[in-house]
Amino acid sequence: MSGEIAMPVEHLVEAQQLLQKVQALAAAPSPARLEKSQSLLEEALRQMQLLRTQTSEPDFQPTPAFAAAAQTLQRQLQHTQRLLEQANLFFEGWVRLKASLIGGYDAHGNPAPAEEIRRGLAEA
Amino acid sequence: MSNLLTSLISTAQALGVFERALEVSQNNVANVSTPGYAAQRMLLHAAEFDPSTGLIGGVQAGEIETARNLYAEQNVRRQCESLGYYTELAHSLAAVESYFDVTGQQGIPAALSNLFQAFSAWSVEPGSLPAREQVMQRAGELADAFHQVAEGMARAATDADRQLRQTVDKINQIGQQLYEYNVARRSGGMDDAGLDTKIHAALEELSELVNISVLHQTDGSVTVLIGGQSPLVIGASLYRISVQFDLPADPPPIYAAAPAPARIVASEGRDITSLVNQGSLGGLLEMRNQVLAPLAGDAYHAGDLNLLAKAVADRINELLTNGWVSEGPPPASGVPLFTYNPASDAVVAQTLALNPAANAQNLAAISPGPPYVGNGVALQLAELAEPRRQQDMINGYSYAAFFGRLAGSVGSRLADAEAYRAFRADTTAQARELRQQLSGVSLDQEAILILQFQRAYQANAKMLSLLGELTEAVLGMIR
Repeated sequence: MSGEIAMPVEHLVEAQQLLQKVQALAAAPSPARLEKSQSLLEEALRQMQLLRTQTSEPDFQPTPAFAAAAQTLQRQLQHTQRLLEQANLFFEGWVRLKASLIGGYDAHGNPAPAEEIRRGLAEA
Repeated sequence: MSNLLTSLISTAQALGVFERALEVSQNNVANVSTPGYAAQRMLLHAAEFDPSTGLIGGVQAGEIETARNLYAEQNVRRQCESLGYYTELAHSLAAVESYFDVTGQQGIPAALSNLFQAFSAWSVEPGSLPAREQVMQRAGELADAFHQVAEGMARAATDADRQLRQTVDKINQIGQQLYEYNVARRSGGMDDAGLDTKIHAALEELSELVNISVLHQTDGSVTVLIGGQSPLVIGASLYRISVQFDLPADPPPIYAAAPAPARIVASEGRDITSLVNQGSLGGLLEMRNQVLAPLAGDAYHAGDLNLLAKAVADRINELLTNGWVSEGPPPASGVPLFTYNPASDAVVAQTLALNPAANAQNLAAISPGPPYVGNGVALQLAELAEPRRQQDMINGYSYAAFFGRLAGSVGSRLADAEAYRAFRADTTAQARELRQQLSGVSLDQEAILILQFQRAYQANAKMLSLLGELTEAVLGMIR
């Protein structure tokens, strides 16, 4: 994206390429990698905002290539979202399991409350 | 004296624990390049100190990190199960999809279209011998097209059967390995990290084949249950599974001369097919019993392909046999154009053929009416291409549209399976990465890691949500 004004479809392609990089980072997620992906997502967001400005013009006519690129981007977004959710679920699951290992369960069958866990860890 | 003894016991215990921790570290160094090796770390924590009750304090090996390793291993296995399922399903569906052309340029849709065009040309010149011969030729081509697809489905079922046998053999082989590892564990290999690695590698390989639950016993052995219920390995006992293709007595088969569904049977003879829903075995069962059977038929399904073949043949035969070849006197009735094995609705497509008694001369074009129409039957046959009457349709669809729906459903299942396979390939790689990240991390480091991860995750999720909204807005303009 040099000084020239990009075509709408170019913004989509740029966003797609950024998303591909984010996907690769999400496949091996660590805090550092997620921080890196955040800056890529910020750039993708900027591309989409530029695109939105262009597509708001009354003379904008989406081409089949534009529609296909937008649909691909949507699929990529869903894939990336689910991939990150999967990693988050893993950690959430472990935190719950650890809570039950340390503090047992409450009367409703849920993992022990945080206070119990802190006490358990302090004793350990 | 008591205090001195207590102190000595405590010291000896602490030394024992530290010695054990050192062994663990050495093992980690030795196995640094071993694929699938999860670094072990001894968690040291204070034991309760209360001399009045005999609790002597000191340090003891903890269990939380072990539990975390098992949790991470289980997460990898869950992803492997799903990846195995979708990989197999996508592979099998791709082989079948080629028989369901959606362009209408080949196979059954092209043959149907050609036959209807031949009927149309015949209706223009009902007495024309070349037009009648063209009908006979196109009818034969339609029967061949049904055969080709039916044979393709039969080949896919045979391939699935062969792969089911191979997969079951492989599952039993891994079960045998795990049984041997259990025996080794019980014979003093309790703390053998190499054995631990082998057990986890075998479990991971097994999870690509079938959905399993793994229970780690206090004697170090693993119990493996298929579908969470049916034992494969318990301690030093192996319970082999098998695949069977014979017809069960209950429920009784509905369609004769059709293949039986595949069944997975436990060592004691119990049918455990319904427990197997993941891994490549789950994918193969899905393909064999839930995709191919409703399409091509089995002992319990007529099969949509057979339904179509029967509907086309019956309707064309009905119109022709209700018509006249000549006015006579006496008038000569038409003969059926198609034959098939009437003994079973599940084998119509593979047995569909031109009636040997039918020929270009005895095709009935005349509709005796009233009103009498010289080319009435030929016209009615030509109208099958774009039917208006319910008796010329299947469930409200023309024959071509009905086939199109079948083809669409196969294509859509394949696209879904491929998308899920790609996603599961990524989540499996991710699960292995997460297992590696947590391996050997202290609980303190882990707490920081999770906190940092969750903060970064929330920031990413928010950004992705904004991007999703913008993309949706762009797509909204296109729709």
